[in-house]
Parts: sequence; C-alpha cells; structure tokens
Amino acid sequence: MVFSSPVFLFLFLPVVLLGLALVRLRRFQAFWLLGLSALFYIWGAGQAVLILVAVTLAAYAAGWIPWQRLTVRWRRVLLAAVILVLLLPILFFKYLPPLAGAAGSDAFAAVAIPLGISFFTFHAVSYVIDVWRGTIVRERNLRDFSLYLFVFPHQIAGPIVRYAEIRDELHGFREASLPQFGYGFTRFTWGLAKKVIVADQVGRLAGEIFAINAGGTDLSLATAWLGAVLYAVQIYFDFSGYSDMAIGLAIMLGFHFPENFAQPYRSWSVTEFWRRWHMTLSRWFRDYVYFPLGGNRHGVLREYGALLTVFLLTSLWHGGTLNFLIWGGLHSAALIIERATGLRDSQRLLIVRRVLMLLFIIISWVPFRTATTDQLGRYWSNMVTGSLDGLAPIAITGLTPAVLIALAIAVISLIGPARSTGFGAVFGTRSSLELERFRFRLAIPLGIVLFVISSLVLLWSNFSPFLYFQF
Amino acid sequence: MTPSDPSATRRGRIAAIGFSTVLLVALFFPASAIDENKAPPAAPQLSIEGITSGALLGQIRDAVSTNFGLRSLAIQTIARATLALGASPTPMVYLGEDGEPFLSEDFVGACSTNLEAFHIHETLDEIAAAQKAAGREFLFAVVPDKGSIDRDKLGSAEDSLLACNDVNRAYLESIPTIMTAWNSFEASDDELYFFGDSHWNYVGGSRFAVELLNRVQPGIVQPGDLVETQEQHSGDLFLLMGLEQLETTTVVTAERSGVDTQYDSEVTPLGYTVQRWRSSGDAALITGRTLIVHDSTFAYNSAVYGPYFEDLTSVPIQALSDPGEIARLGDYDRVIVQRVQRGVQSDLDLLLAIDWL
Repeated sequence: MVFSSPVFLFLFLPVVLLGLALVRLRRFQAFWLLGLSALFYIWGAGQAVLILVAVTLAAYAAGWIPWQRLTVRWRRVLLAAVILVLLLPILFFKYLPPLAGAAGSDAFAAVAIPLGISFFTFHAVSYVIDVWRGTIVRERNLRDFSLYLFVFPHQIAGPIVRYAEIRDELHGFREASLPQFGYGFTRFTWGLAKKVIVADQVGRLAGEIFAINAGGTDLSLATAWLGAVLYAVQIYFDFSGYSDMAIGLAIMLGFHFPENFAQPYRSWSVTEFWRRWHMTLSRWFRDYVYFPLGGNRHGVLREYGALLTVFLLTSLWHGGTLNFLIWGGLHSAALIIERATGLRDSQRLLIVRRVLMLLFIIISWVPFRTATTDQLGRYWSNMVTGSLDGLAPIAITGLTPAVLIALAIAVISLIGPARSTGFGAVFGTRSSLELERFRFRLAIPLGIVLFVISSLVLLWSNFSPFLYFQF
Repeated sequence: MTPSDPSATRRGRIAAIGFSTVLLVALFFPASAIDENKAPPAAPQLSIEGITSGALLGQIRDAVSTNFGLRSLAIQTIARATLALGASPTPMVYLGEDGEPFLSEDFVGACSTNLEAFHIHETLDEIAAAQKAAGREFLFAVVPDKGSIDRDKLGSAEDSLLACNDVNRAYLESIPTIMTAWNSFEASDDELYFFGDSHWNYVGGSRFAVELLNRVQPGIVQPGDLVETQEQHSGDLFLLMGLEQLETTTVVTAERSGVDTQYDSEVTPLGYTVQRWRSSGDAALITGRTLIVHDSTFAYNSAVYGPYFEDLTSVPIQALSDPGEIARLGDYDRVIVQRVQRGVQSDLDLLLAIDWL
C-alpha cells in the first residue's frame, strides 16, 4: 500500500486516526498503531513481513548484549556479526539476484525484494550501533521497539529516523494538538500533491520515453533530453513528496520525523546537493561509515577513500546493478574534484554553477533510470548525438496539460528563497518543531484545496477506459 | 493557542475525527458505473484463506479503487475542465485543430513498430502461396488510420506526428498483395471518419467495402445498391477521455433487388461473435464460401458485404489464437483479412499457425 492510493487515503488513514482519537489509552494507542502498521506492510508485501519480524527480533536482542562489559576486540567482532545478521535479508534479496544473473544463473531471478527492506534494515542497524556506542539506552519494551521500526509513515521510503529522535514519543501518550494536526494535514497534502499532481504525471511520459530506449530504438536529441528532464522532476517530486507525506502523517500520529529534503535542485555544488538530498540517508552514512573511517581528520587520501566507500555503499544501497555504481561513481568523482579544486567552498559564479549543477543532476539520473549499461550508453549518446528530428510522437501526444502544469510547478520550485523548502516558504516554518510561525489560516484552506485536487487526479489516474476497438 | 494547550489537543482530536469522517463518507458515496477495459472487481470475500494469503486485502484494495463513489464525478470533472482548455486530458487521445480527437496510438505505435522489420511482405507472400496451393483466394486489406487521412486536421505537429506512420504506409503500399485505400480516401471530399472516434465511419467503411467487392468480382456493386440512414454514434475517443459524446452519423447498408439475404450470428463458447450471411437470387453473387477475418473496423462496413456473397462468415481476428474456434467453422474458398493500419503487424503469426489456412 502506498500513501497515494484510494485505499490508504479513504480507508486505512481514517481508521487509524479514528481509533487513536476515540480510544485515549496509551497501551491501546501502541497496539493499535503497531497492529495497523503491520497490516500496512502485509497489505503491500504479504508474508515478507516475517523477514521484518526476524530483523526486528535480532536488533531487539542485540540491544540486550552487555556491550560495555566486552573487550574492545570482542565488541567489534560481535557488532560486525550482528550487523551481518541484520544485513542478511538485504544481501539475499537485493544483491544475490543481480550477482547470480551476472554469473549467468537465473536461479534467483524470481526473488522479489521485500518492500522497504533497505529502510527497515538501516533503522535497525542505526539502533544497534547507537546502543553499542552507548549514545542511547536499549529499549526494553519489545512493543515500543517494534513500533519504532514498523510505524507505517517511515516504513517504505523513509525518512530514516533515529531511535533517539522518537524515543520519548514512543514511550509517552501521543496526541496531536490542533496546530500539530493542521500542520500534519497540510504537510501530508503538500506531499500528496507533489506525488500525484507532479511526479506521477511527468513519470508516465518519462517511463514511455525510457521504454523506447530500453526497446533498442534511438531517440531524437529533443526527446532524449525531455525524458531525462522529466525523470529528474519525477524522482525529486516523488521521493520528497513521499517524505512530506511521511512527516505530515507522523505529526498527525504524534511523532516528529526529521526533514529529508531541502530543495536539492537549487544546489550549486554536488557537496551541497548531498546536504539537501535524502538528508537522513546522508546523515546515516556520515555517522556510521564516513566518520568511523576517519572522515577528513586523517589526511586527503583517507578522506577520499572514506568518500569513495560511502558512495560505493550508497550506490549499492539503491541497487545491485552496474548502473547504480556508475551513478555513485559520477557523484563521488564530482565530490572529490570539488574538494581538490576548492570549488566546494567557493562562492564564485554561483548562478552559472547552479545551471551546470542542474545539467549534472539531469544527466546523472539517467543511469538511475536505465537498467543496463547498453541502455545507458544509448541514452547518453542520444542526448549528445541524437537526431534533430524534434520531439517523437509519444512526446507530442504525451505533453498533456497535466504534464505541462507539472513541469511549470517544477520550474517554479527552482525560484524563491534558497534556504527554505517550498513548504516552508509558503507556510512560514521550516520544520514541524516551529509551529508558532506556522501560517495556520493559510494552510488549512490551501491544504483542503490541494487534497481535493490531488484526490481528483488520483481517481482520474486509475481510470482505464473501455477500449472496445481492441475487442 | 500552543500545541500543549488542553483545548488545543481536544480540538486536534475533533479535527482528526472530522477529517476521518469526511474521508469515510467520501468512500461510501453512492457509485455510478463507468465503462472500463477491466472486469469490475468482485466484492471482498471474508475467509480464513483470503486472510492468510493476503487475497482479501487485494480484493478490498481493488474494490475501493474501482468502486469509489466519487470516481466517475472526478473523471468527468477533469475531462471537461481539460477539454474546456482546448486540450486532451489523456495522452491516449491527441486533439487536433478544432478540437478533433485522434487516437495517439496511430502516431506513437507506428514509431515502435517498423513494419519492414516484421517482414510483413514475406509473411503475406508465404500465406498467399499456401492459400493458392490449397485452392483458396486470399486477400489482405488494410484500413488507413484516421490520422493518415485526416492529416490536415492535425495542425502544426502533422509532420512530426506522422513521420513513422508515413514510412509504414509507404512500405504497405509497396506490397502488391495488400489492398489499401489511402489514395482513394485522400481523393474523397466526404468525411470518412467519425469526429469523436478512432474508426472510419459507415461512409468510409462502405467506400472501402465497395472497392474490396469490386476487386474480388469487378462490377458487382451497382449504383443505387447503397442505402443511407441516420443514427447517433458515441465516439470511442471521448470514452477514452472519460466522457460520452454523441454525433449524428450516416449509416450505409446495401439493398440489392432480387437478392434474399439471411443473417444469423452466434457467440462461441470462448466468447467470439461469428456472423453469417447467406444470399440467393437472380443478381450476381460472389460464389463459394467466404471467410472474413476482421478487427473492429468491420463493425462499420459489415452491413454492406452480406448481399454480395453467396455464403459469408465473419470472425474476429482474436479467434485465431484459439485454433479450435476456426477449425469448427469448416473450410472456405476465399479468405479475406481486414485490419486497421495500426494493427497490421499483430496476429500475422496466428494466420500462419492455422493449419487449414
């Protein structure tokens, strides 16, 4: 189940909210939310929920290991063993099939990746490492610990929430005030609109253009660039929209999740891009990989080595194919060049660098979207040496008003105060912790309008007309 | 009011209850049916197996998605609003000049199906040779796409839209065993296609039928054979956009003096509609048993064919995928395949696979 589906919006969400609002008992709250979060997962991934239960139990048990009493060596060995156990499902489901495929075996071709396994595992690993480091006290209550991992807003696509960030909320009685509920509702509908009105509209045409490329047909120069631009818009609005929805839902349920995006396409360097894009993932790799490898405190070579390791793992986290490695390679190379040349901290030619950065972003998403190196090579080649025939028919017919409106919204999102998110600029607050500045009177009517429009578009998108000429 | 005020949390609770109630009311709003290219979802069945397998959850999801009460209203609202802006609400339909809709697949599909690569020429030669060896006549007739005839209505994007379509047209016209109608259609001053439909209209269909009949037996269609009446037609392109729009159209049928035509039809166990016409009388008839294998274009010229054939059977081309359905029809002296340009390449392999063909 995804947030932008009729069954979630009009059945699952109201049932969750009604239960919490009508029965004001902490134990009921916890079991209600945990039970429905498990149902949310089962609805999307069925019996794969058992894998998540196993990961949950393993992480919970690891919290009980008396880490501080062990020798340094044994602490490290045992931590590595626990992390390996937690990573086993992700290794099996995400990396074994492509590795076997590369070796010529299709034995694992039918293995499907359990929904949200990467996010779930990273939550569990962060908890174990934080307990190991002694920065948090282990969670004694299995129900509350399970709720931390399972709570449905962050389950499928993040943000990656640290246990310490919501520990108090897990233990306390959660209740959203009117300002919090209003913020949560508006933030949720803002994300829903980004997903349904922008991402889904451009994504359909982007998918068709990339499908032509995947089919082995060359694209004209204009069509190839259109497809790449549409995909760049889609992936940002889809992912950040999902994060907005997750943060908004969390507030409505009484949790505060960290921000995950801060207008990454307004960056003037790759370094800045990664400070604005999927911030909780960057934070995860910074704290659990980059710093432990030495960060920038042990010379340039070690720093670059740590950076390359982080991007190797980031690439692999996204997927186990060569194209993801190429994507990560591009970004890590750009980061190292920026550090080596001093561009990272330079404030010169910012407008030119913003334009160049946008081009880099658009070009570097292509390996993310294409499945094989052949497709990637053909696509990049078409973006440089494609025919000058103009747009292909699929692009002409696919540029509907909905797509044009989505593109216009994407362009508008590049304008405005760079330090704020689009949501923050409109509603006066950068996060759910600054509600005193939240423009409540603007938010509610605008939220309702966005919710109605998004629902209309969502219901329209599900329309499958009767094609009787195909009888 | 701060988040920690007791009154604020009470109001937050009331807001949550109100919001949830509105969503549930919307969910259970009475539904109105819409024609769609999918079977209506079954009502969720509560069972132990359904719960353990997850099937129940899938049934609930499908039922909510499709039977959502406000769905038809949402679809029609978006369709009308977009059309009012002079644009199509769906990429499946392209709006030309003056708001005339065209099926996007006519343009898009042509670019993903290079007909030469499908070896249509060779395949048809092979089929024709096999038919000739078996003593049968064989004719493959291609119906032009609407866009390729009404191209002047496409506006400034005409050349880009038809670039691939034109390549395919040239290839098909180079195959002597194919009957096409581009040139004669382009020369006509009549409207040969519906305004709001992807198909030719009855006038276009009858024009094609006359050409085909005269090709099978020159001079068989006489002036005055065709009769015109008026009816209302609901265009498929508007249905694709979520609306129903009627247009007045001229229906063309054939009435031959001195010819008695008997018509019957049956739906086979697998759901294919087989139609039969048997004619007798003093006027000239195309003798022997004739089979027309057709797509949806046949709906608009079928009424012209019957009175000219001694024994005519029609079967939808999809029936070829069930060889038993074709075999039960028996043998024929003449086989005619009528296909629209955008579907020419599909199902050719099925024609080859039928034993008696």
